[in-house]
Amino acid sequence: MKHFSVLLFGIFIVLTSTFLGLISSSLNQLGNLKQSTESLELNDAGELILVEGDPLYPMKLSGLSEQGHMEYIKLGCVNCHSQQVRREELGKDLERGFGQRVSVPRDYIMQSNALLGYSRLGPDLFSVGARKTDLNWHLLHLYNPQITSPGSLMPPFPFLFETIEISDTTATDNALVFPPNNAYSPKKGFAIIPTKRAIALVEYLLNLDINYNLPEAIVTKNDRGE
Amino acid sequence: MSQPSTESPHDSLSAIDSSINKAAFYFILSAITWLTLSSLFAVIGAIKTVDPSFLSTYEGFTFGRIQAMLNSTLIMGWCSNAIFAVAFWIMARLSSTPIKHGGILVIAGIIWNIALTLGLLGIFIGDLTAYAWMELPKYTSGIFLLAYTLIAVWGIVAYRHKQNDYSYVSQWYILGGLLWFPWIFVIGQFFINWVPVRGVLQSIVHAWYINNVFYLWLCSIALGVCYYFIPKLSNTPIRSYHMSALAFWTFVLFASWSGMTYLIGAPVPVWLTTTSIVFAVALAIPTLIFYVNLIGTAFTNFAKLKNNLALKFIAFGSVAFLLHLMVKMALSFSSIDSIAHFTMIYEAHHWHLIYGFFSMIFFGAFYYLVPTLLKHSFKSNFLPNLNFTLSVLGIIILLVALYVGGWLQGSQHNSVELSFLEIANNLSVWMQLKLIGLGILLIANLLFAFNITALLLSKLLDELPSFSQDKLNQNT
Repeated sequence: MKHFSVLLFGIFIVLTSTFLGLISSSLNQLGNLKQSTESLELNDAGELILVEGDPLYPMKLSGLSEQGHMEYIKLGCVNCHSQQVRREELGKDLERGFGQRVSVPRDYIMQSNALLGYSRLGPDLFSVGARKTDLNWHLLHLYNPQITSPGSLMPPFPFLFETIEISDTTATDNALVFPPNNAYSPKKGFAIIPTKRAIALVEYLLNLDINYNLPEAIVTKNDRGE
Repeated sequence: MSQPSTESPHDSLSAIDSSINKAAFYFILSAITWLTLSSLFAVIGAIKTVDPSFLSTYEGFTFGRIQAMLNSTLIMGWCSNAIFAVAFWIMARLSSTPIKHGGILVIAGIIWNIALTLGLLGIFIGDLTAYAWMELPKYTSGIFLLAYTLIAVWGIVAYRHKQNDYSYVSQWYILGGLLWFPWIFVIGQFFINWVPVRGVLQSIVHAWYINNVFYLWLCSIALGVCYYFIPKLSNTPIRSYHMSALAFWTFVLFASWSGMTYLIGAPVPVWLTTTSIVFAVALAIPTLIFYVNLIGTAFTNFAKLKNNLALKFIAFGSVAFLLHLMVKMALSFSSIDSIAHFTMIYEAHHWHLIYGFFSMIFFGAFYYLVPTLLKHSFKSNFLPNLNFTLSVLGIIILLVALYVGGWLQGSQHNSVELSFLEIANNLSVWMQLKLIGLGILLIANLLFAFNITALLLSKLLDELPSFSQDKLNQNT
């Protein structure tokens, strides 16, 4: 019994120590990160301050992008796609064009969730908006990845689209444009229309790009990215 | 600290056992049900990585959601219910206290399972969170906490008058696990779901959360079960038992501090990952002691090991656990991480822990616990032995597929000339092997569920005639 209180105290200390050591200290260090201009300047007092009038980065996501961000979570995309660019000594992220520079904590502060990811069954998406700029490509890729990337392991998301019959009264200007003679094209007289959710998701993907500098992270690989 | 070799007289043992019957069987049956469901999710998910078009027209069955349902059923369904079933029974036995007020436990268990069912439906319709292993929608967290509070209330009521003598190391692991879990859960839910912190801080909390759920909840309790059963079943005292206290404190402390290795190379402060790497490497100390304590004891008496079903499972699980810790240490080196990160190796490592270690330990514990509680043994050991063989086979195939496939995948990630499409195509063999492994494990888990329920039913059937006989006697 005299050991029981020691045991309880030890059990308490183990978890408290890692909470303070790993979580509280990170909160302390990263909790106050704010948007920044691309570079800083010295004021008269010798402090580094934001350059007045310059745009602040990272930018806030647009309403539609934020919706797309939520769709990304709801569909579990994070299970196969990461969103982070690692240092050069830890892999070929920069060479592969996953980003023009290494990602830093400040890059994520404007997003409701940091979707760093843990698996790359598919490629990293941190700057997919710079690599793949075509709206129709993204929509086709979501509708069925086999159209744009035959052999892909990515599941199709047909429930983000509607098949409608083409008539004089239906609007089909936003219908998906399939490559000629594609096996996955709709039947003649029908069109595939993206739902709002698909549009939001693609808007989010198109906006995933680190095309800005931060004082702690300068774009180094200008020629990368298609 | 003394050796857990002497047991109380048999009369009081069976009083303890019958005191927990109702609650234990509720948790045992829940655990089996969730295990079966999770094995189905695992196979569906694996089929989808071989043929992405499988079930793809149904949004609820998209890969990401299947994965989320799989993780949730494993942790909160199978593992947690199995822990509730076995941990309370061991605690009651080691402290020689009958479980009182077991009804509270059953109510807690019912609420727990309602929370999980609701959560799975939530994931199915798209309410999942962004974080692996904690995908259950945030509206379920309060219900889980309510259930766990009832369990804590029960603990206070049941042990109120008891002068607990915590002299066995297996009690430490189990008490620790039961006390750590609610704090881990609350901190994780608080900073990610209730009052979300910003940006990568969420990822840091997430890494801390899953690491602690794995090592301070699942592993801690499973180690308690190992330390209880291995000396008991092999009829040998734990080798170098005096080292086991050191193993306990170093393991729980180092494992808990090593959580940030999941974030090596991620956009987080480098000191975080460096600290965790140091602690991950330091896990060598408890690993060595576990080797002497557990493996050294389990494998001393080969005749026992060969003939004792429960011990076979637990010995296999202990070996798997040591290998798991060695892989964890290896993965913390940057040179290995630069290949292994983002590959199937992490998935392998999780399966290694949950199926290789945790499930095997608890299969063994169930195969001992259920016949003991029922006072009714298996007529033939053929099916339980087949369960063992299939589980071992499935685990080995699954882990080989994911570790080897993952290593090749990582090497190809670092060959810039290979596109992700080519890498995916090169993975297909390993994905098929993974499916075979998970398929065998589905059969093994179904067999486990069958064996346990069949034993329950045969006991009930045996009791029926005597029951009617009693009635007849009463009537005359």
